Amino acid sequence: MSFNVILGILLAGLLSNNYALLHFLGTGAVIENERSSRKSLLVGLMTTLVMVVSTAITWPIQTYVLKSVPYLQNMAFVLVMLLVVEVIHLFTRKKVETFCKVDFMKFAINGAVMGLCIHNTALGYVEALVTAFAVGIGFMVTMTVFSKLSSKIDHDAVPAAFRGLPVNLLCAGMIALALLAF
Amino acid sequence: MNKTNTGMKEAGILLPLGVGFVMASSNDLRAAVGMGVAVLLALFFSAVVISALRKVIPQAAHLPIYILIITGFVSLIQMVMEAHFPGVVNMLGVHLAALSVSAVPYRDAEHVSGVMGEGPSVKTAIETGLLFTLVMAVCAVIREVLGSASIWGVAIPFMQDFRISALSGVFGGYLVLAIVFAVMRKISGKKETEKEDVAA
Amino acid sequence: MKSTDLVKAIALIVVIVLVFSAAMFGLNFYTGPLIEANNAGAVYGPLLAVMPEGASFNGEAQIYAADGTVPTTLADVPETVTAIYKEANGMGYAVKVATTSQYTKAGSAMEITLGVDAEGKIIKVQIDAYNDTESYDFRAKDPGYLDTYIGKDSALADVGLVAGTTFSSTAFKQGVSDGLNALIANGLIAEGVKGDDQLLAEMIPTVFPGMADPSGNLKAEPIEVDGAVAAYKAVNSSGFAYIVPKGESMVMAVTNASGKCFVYDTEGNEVTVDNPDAVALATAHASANQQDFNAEAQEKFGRMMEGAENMTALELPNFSTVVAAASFDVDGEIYYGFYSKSYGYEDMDVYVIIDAAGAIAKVDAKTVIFEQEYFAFQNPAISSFDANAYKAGLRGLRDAEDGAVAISGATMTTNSMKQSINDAFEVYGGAQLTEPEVSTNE
Repeated sequence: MSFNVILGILLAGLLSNNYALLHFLGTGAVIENERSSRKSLLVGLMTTLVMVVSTAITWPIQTYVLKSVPYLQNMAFVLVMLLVVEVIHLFTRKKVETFCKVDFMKFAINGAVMGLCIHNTALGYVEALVTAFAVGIGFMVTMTVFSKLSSKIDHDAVPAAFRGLPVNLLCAGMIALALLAF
Repeated sequence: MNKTNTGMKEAGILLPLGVGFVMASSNDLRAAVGMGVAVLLALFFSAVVISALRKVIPQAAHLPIYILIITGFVSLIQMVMEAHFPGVVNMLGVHLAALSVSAVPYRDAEHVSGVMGEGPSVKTAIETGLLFTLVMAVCAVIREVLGSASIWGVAIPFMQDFRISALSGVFGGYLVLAIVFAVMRKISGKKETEKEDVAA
Repeated sequence: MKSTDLVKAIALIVVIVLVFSAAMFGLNFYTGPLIEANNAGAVYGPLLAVMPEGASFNGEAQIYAADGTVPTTLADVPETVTAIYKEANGMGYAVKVATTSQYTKAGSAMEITLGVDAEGKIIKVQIDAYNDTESYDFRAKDPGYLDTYIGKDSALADVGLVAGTTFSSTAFKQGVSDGLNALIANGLIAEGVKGDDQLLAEMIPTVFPGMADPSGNLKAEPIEVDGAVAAYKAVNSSGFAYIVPKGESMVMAVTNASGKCFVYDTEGNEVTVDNPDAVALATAHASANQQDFNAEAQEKFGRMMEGAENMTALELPNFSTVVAAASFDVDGEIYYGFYSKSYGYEDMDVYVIIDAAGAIAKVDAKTVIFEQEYFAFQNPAISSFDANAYKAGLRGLRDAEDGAVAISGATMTTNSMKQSINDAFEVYGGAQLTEPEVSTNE
């Protein structure tokens, strides 16, 4: 795989292949994010790890095991994700005490990881891993940027009915609109 | 506290968790109704099972168990839909499978079915499911009619020249949902004040 | 977590997974066949639309895939063909083609599905995805166009192009041909035999380059002429082509703007002397209908070169886009003027004046080319185009291959300019306007 292809996948992860904003996968997790930028970066980084490791495991499962029983895909993928999140939490628990296990599990098991694992089965193995990393980084950046942006919204200037979710949606929509140009 | 108010409060908490699939499936009425039914059934069945098992499930491990139960029902629903409504499943794509790990049924399980009996759990599940179906259907009608000049996949001839194609796209999802949600809030807010006036 | 809780949790998880897997396994007996049928329908459904009633495709229907996902024995399949399917009962083939034209939007192709019966006749053609600029949508300009393909073999006799959307409809027609050629190349269907009139009509761009654009596409309208099987009038009025029967076969007569007539047979040989009847028919019609551009051209030459006198019209020796030529004197020096109507983005009127030494003295164009607004509208990057500098840059050229002819950002206009200048030089050379002749005039 050439360097250009890898660079392309990485850029797409940030821009045109942005899961949270353009594919509507994990949008809730991003829009509801009220963590500080530092925490967002950390959570995003760990989600990236979940994405890459889950892809590394689900891809061979899909390719070699699930061909004859496609209907078990959801169950198998969710089990893998649960396991991956549990193990990652076990290893990082001492260093990352910013949030408890259930919080992390709730956050890291989202539609973006699931959707990514399913989408990735259509790619080659290496390509799938690079895509997982790129999408994870894109997810992290989106989350951080969004938390920064939404904290800047002057809620007093927003009509009462639009406060909270609607204005956050419009804000996310604007970012999505900018990303659509790619 | 009146009923609209509680409903609205629940909506305020649940809608942000489900914005992803609401926007993803609201560009076509068929997709919206399909997704609505899937959400309703998934909520209903998992509410029944989780509230029945609520005394057996160890609190420390409730998350994986809830998620696996939800996933199981979503998979079964997905299989039946694939068999009978392949077009809808095609439109929903990966979002139907992603419903397994969506925060909406999970939150429902954690806050309602996991702690309450079957009766209230099932009631909440059906209410939540109907709420989502309604929101998605309203968004879908707006987006499909104005964005694609069709309804339920049937073209509306005189609308063809007045299509706002941006509405059926990604940005339309954000815009329409934001407006629909704001309108919902305005209407329910009004009812609330009216009732207060009567009481006063 | 207490160890009893852990055991309980793990046991519960295992039970849940097993119960749901068993439920799905059971449900699959019911949904599995339905889903399989749906998937097959999703692939073959669009194919059935181009096949006759009762056609069906089974699991081994696909015999070729451009992406190599299906084992194939087919060879020499054109690049544009993406997939070929064989009907189960020998009723024919369905071919999927993805093609592009000059106006295709980036990153996507015009997708065509083509149904062909076992004899090689087209059952139906449909467009699955149209990604050319909407204003060039030939389906809108001619709603019945696709139906003209029905029943045709690979010769595609009487299938034309849609005026105003030549590039898109040419791409479509070529796509259909590619699909048929893939089947022909592998002996699956027989090649259609082209009629004599079709062979001759396809020859027009070769024997009458003035009736074709720089890419070789025919630029002519069909007209009715008594005694001719078919006849064409050049869009730029540079001449006519007449296809007339001769015994068992046919011949084609072409006439240019000064009435010169050549006759060709189906093999492309010039047979003018053997066909006085064809010449008579052609010249009779042409002399009555050919527009005369001499007066208009000479007036323009006079304005371009101050003090021009002794304006003399010249016979056109060949069949180019030049519709009028004249010689004239300016201060005792002889010059030759050529009026070419070439095909650019829109049709262009180009005037080229060549001096006795064979170099360009002056070039001007009446319509689009020197209007800056036209360029600015098409491409803001060349709104700074300086017409006078461009014209000055052409002076002294001896052929059209010089870089000075190129206009950046305006490929079609450039090609059209090249065609006009080339044609002017060709007439210049063909008329044998050489030095000695010049000296006799002095």
